[in-house]
Amino acid sequence: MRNILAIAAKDLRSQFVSPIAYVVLTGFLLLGGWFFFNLLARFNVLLNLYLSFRNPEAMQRLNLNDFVIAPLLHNLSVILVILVPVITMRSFAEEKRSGTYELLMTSPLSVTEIVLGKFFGAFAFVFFMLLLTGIYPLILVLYGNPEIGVLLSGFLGLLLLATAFVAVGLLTSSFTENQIIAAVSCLVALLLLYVISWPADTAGETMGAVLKYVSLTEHFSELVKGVIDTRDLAYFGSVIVLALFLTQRSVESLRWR
Amino acid sequence: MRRSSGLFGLIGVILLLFAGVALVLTRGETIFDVIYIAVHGVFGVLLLIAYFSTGIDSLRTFLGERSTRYGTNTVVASLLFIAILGVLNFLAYRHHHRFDLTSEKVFSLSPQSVQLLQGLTQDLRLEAFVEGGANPEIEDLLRNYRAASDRVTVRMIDPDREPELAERYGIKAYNTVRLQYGEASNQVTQPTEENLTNAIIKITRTTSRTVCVVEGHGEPDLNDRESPRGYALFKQALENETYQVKPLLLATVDQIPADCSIVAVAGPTRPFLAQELPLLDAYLKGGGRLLFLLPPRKAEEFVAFLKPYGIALGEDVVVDQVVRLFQGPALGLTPLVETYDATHEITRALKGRTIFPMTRSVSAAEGTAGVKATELAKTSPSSWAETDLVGLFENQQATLDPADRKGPVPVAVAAELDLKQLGGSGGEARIAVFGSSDFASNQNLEGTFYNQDLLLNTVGWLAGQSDLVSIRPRAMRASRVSFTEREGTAIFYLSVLVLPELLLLAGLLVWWRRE
Repeated sequence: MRNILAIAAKDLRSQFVSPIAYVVLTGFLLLGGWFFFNLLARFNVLLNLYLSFRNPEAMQRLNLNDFVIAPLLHNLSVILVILVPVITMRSFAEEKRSGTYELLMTSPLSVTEIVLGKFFGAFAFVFFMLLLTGIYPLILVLYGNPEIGVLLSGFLGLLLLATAFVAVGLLTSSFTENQIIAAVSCLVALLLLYVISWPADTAGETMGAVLKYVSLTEHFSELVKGVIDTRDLAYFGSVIVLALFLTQRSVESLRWR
Repeated sequence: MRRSSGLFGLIGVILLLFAGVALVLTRGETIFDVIYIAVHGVFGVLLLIAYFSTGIDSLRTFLGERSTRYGTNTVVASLLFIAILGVLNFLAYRHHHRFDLTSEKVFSLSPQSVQLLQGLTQDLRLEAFVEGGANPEIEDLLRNYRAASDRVTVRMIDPDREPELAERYGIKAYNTVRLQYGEASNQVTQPTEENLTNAIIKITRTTSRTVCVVEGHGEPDLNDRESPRGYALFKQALENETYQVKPLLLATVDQIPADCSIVAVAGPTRPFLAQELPLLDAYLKGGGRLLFLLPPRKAEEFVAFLKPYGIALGEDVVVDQVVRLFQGPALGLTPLVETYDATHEITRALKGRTIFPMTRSVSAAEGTAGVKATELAKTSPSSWAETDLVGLFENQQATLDPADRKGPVPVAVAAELDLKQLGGSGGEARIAVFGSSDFASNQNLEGTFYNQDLLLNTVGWLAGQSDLVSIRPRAMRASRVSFTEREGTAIFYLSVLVLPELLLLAGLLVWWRRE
């Protein structure tokens, strides 16, 4: 455990001294802030519109969770698809390129410890990133009355989603020593997991159900709506564990290749 | 040589991979799919053979190498791991729990619904016909049903893309949900939890009830689907609600059969025989349920029949002025009904208009002991009940005379009879009377009016199975945010400008120090 934490801390430190991290953080928060402020402004415009139309039924349907938080979370999730690969691409590829990989592999650390260390390092960075977006719900709670439960489950969904992204990113990073290839193949894999359910309606019953289950969006949307289903937790857990297992295998393969 | 053979092997694997994906996705349905899969498969295998055959020696060394053993080991372990995760996920999918964090419990079903769904013994299919195949609200609702029971399957269908399905099931409007439970099926046009759960209750009930429809007096035909005045849709609507519909020839029986839960006298055009009415009366006194659709100028013997039960059949026709473009006001004999009794079970939830073509007035007489009669539906204030039938039908004229009853005119009555007070042995009987027979004809059940709902509600009430549960509709709690203009500016600065700015500056600082 100490070893894992040591690697995680080292990786996290190296993230924060590289300019990429700040570009990613700035971009993420800039886009997030832009989304949030505009959704909030649109919400107030709608509110005034319905107020002037004296449309109580539409007024009743207007709520912060559906009109601000849910679209914000969905937008952020798409940005994460693009940015998380940029964060994780370095994990193994950078070490291979700079030649420190052999050093790491010949150290007395086990492969599992290395993989978990790298995972927690990248996870801590992404967690920090999402923590900064916490000011949006904070503003809503300060000035309004959103449903706290739905807020929490939505951000839990975003965190689980980002964690799964990190695990997949580690996997693609372990395949190659080229960071660009690592990032792009991670991006493609994540996008594929995003859209894989599109043919579900026409693919027949069992196949459709499987495709829907495999898709990230289906599970994420449930959490954003405010429903925590053990199915969705099991799904995210499986994606993370599977990606980490394959990463471990991939890294270990270097010892006998 | 060794390098190019390695390439062969890799390309072979890629081709086989794509062949596999194509096979799974297309299942080789068209000739093009087959060609694609076959070409990829054959070349993939050939390339692999070429790879291995570049020397049986190299194959032998390859198989013997340590890395091959480890590689196989890794692939097998990974596949095994994926399989285990698959099984675990399948189990998690089958046995799961949902926590609804919304304060109004929007994504949970009421306990009544959950209990009902957990008692299902066959598979229940819910198919929603929605525009474009997507309607988040209905989908969320149906998902709640699916989450409550493994027996439930849900499908969203775009009726424009699958018109043959919509045609076969007789789907007439968007947002219709069709239920299929074993052999039985049913439809809900306003899918709310209350309506869906009640439809499921009706469809899953094993004891079906029988509606006996009296024949032999020139009534509209129950199997006549073609003519607008036929009753085939009436029959179909009843069967959809799991009633059995049977014709009943009164002249041939000496009492109403015991299996008739409801007896319907629907649109007779010739008078009843003298011995037929006592049969109905005896049936009623034994706790029977009678449904009448009695058009004006016909079946006058029922005026006397219904009088003791607090129901007054008017010997009149309801006239409603209609304003036609360019023609001004004209006589209308198809009054629209928008006013319903707000407390009676039948009409409580009815939201739309109904149409009563060629109808007489039917009113509840006050003060008949043992009878609780309710006027269910009334025509508009501009209508009246015309008693001068000769003038109306021979001279095509009608004016509101002092003798005529001014609108709103009641046109449907439901009565509950306390048989003990009426001199019987006890128990309860029910009667529902409509003043129109075209009210239930094909033409009017199919159209945009809510005749079918009113009719089915009435039959349900007669059979003692009108809505069995009532469930409050739920929506996300409305929430607001309010801030002054200054606070709004502060929010803008904080969220859009300050935070990214600080991060950017921090990055620059780090970069500068490293340089």
